[in-house]
Amino acid sequence: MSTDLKKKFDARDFLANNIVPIIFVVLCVACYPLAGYSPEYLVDQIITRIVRNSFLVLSLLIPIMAGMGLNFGMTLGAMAGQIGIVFITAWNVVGIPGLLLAAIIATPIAVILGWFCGKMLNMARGREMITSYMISFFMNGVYQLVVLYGMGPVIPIHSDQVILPRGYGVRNTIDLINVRRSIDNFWQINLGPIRIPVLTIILIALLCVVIIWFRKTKIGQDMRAVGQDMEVAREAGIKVERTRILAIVISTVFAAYGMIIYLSNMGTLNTYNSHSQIGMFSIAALLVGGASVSRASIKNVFLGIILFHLMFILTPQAGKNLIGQAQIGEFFRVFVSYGVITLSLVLYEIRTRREKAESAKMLAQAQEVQA
Amino acid sequence: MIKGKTAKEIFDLRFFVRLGCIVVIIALAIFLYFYGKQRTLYVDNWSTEINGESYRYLDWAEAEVDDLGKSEFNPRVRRGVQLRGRTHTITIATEDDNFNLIELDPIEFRLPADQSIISLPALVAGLPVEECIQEFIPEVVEIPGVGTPAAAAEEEVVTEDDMFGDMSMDF
Repeated sequence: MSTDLKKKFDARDFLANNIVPIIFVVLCVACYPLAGYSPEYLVDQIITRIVRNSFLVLSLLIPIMAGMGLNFGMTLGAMAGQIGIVFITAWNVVGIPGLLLAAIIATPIAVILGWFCGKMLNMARGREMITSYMISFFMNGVYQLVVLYGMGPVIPIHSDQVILPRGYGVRNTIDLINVRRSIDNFWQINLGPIRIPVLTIILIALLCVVIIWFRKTKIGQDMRAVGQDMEVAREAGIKVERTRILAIVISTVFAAYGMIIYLSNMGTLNTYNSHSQIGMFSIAALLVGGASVSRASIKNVFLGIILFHLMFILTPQAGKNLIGQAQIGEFFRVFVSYGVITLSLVLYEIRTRREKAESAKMLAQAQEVQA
Repeated sequence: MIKGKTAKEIFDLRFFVRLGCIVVIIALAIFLYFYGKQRTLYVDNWSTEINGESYRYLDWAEAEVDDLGKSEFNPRVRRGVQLRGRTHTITIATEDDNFNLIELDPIEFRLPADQSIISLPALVAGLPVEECIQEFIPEVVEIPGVGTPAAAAEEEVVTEDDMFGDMSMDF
């Protein structure tokens, strides 16, 4: 009996389920000797980038759990985080108090944007990913309108550091020197050349614990039920629409906090561009970790960030050493990153069709036996 | 009242807990604003004139704001310090004409603006601290051909530099 229950290891299945991380592992292994970086340098870089991006990528897990796919709308949360950062820079509130204040400012904005996004996604059921992507475009326009024309005359910001010399609109780039690496430097351990930002790691671990705990709560169970089958969940008395909106709101708020951590680590805010890349990057990193549109775990987040960043670090140098041009590695990285998203979406579609066909076949067999 | 709910049902324990949470968060935000706000204080050893009276620069002085480390001030030296919060203390040591060390009692002061300037000669002369400290307004000097206000006002804003979701930058 126990042998029946144990699934046999199927190399084909394993390959099909983990094709993306396998491709990345192979690429990284091939690029490592060509790049010529020391292991200490790589470990330091990877740790820095894990703490920079984990919060953002973790924010994608809850909508996947609720069956809403990859939340391209996390960009909305990133915009909220950026608005918080703009305010604290204008007010010159520095260090960790500044970042906490930015988070407090960003929260209501992220909640409102998340609620709006959730409402829209409920109206476009079954097409959540493309809809959330289009909402990002739409909100990007609104964000630019507010930041470019609203800040100064309508929203009173008078800091020369933030506002353009013409008196309205925010500068292209804002130097975040007053909050740069505040969380990381608050409690940092140095192991030789490797820097370990303990407080940021604790924050990320805390978010992981919250996500694990959340899955076991009533609302978490509801989300999983909604993710598996909306109609069955509705029959069971779950408020499907409300649960889906909640999933997007939570994701957007986490994305706002993630963006604040990301920007404080980077030390510079590109007012009109920072948020626009973040959604795509985070989704690519998650997919590289072996997640799919319908299934993702914390393990996928960390594996994805490690592999994605290994590629980021290794390919330009490998390209430079191999052909004499770092740019070739950059191009390679960009097309592989976009390719990963495409490949994951195609694989997901193939798998879904195959599963549907298999279940239809099994149903037909069962009906034949009954007849 | 709302969807057939009575006032008692609306203003239940949950309502007040939520209201309490919002109030606590707003209070925390206000606290963080005042606690984390950074202001610049320039400690100045230039000759100055306050209320019509002139105070000559000190030949030598040593000053420390809060516990941020002592700094030496030769004549016509001005140093800036970044401070959090409004109330601070300055400790000054200087020499008289016979090179005897004079240590003043720590002086407590409040910063009047985001950028303030405090005069060491006036403080040593015994003027009340409120008169020795004032808002610092930087003098703007236009250099012909370089960074003119007109050129600065035309600083270009780039909003469509990259495609949305562009992945050629760092993450």
